[in-house]
Amino acid sequence: MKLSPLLSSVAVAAVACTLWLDASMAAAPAAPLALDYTFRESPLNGNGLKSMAELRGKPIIIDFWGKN
Amino acid sequence: MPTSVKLQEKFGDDIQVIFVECQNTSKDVYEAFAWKMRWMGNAAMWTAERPLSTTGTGLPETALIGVDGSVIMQGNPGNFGKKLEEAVNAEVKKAKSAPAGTSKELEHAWKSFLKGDIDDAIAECDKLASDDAKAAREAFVGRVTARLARVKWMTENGYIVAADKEVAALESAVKSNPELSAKVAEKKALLAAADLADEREADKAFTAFISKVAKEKPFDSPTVKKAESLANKHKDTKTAARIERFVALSKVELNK
Repeated sequence: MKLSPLLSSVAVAAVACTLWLDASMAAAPAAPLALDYTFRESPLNGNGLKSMAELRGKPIIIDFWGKN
Repeated sequence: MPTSVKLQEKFGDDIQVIFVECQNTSKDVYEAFAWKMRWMGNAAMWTAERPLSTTGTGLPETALIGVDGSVIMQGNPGNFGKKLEEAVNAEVKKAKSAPAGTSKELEHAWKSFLKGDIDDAIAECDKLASDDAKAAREAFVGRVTARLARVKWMTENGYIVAADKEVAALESAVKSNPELSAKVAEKKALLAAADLADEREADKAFTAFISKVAKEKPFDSPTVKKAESLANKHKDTKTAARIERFVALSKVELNK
């Protein structure tokens, strides 16, 4: 079966679009890792903790709060 | 009491809560406030540095970071309901197993490591000798090295009870590994130094004092007087300086 020039162009464009989407999805950054942070000063009760990476393997809750 | 304090007390060392003060309140004021609210006396950490950006929806805001380091949920804790504790529970269970994606051959090594048998974990990696096994070995040694660095900090800063506990745990975990056991022995020798005996007694006394008063009325006059006499009894130790800070915090004006 022979495709018309118009149908051929649509098919080529669809394939190109799919390839572009795949490529852009592959290039998307990974889920943000929260363990990259290095503390300037060890947190209170941190017993010398220097970086979040030292807590890898343990669930961490970060509670952002304010007194007021 | 914030849910995070309850979760830290419920799950203990299985999780880590980090409170991040976000209103530029001075350290003295927010620390005194936390004592007064009876939020202290557990393993939660306190800082004004943000390891993670907020979403900007206002305070309070809570983020749960999973065992693989990714953010699992973040937002107003009031909207989480029971979902936060359920997610924490699921992550605590995950933390007791090998990380997702671990090859079948390394499952035993990870299981041993997570049980605290670091010797067996490293021996298993050495036996396998694959690239994945080398990477796992590196991860195990890295975690031990980080723990030893914290022992050094604790020893230098007067947290002798915690340092003793950590060295005892590491000593039995790495006893068959010459390189790591030598490093642990070095830290143990430092902790056995005669000049740390007074520091150890002071730290024991203050640790016991805190566990007794943190959930009562820590800044009541009789409690503060006890702290003052404790600081006097253990003067010239690093712990005495911490006790004096506790006394000073009891006098901080919170409306500053």
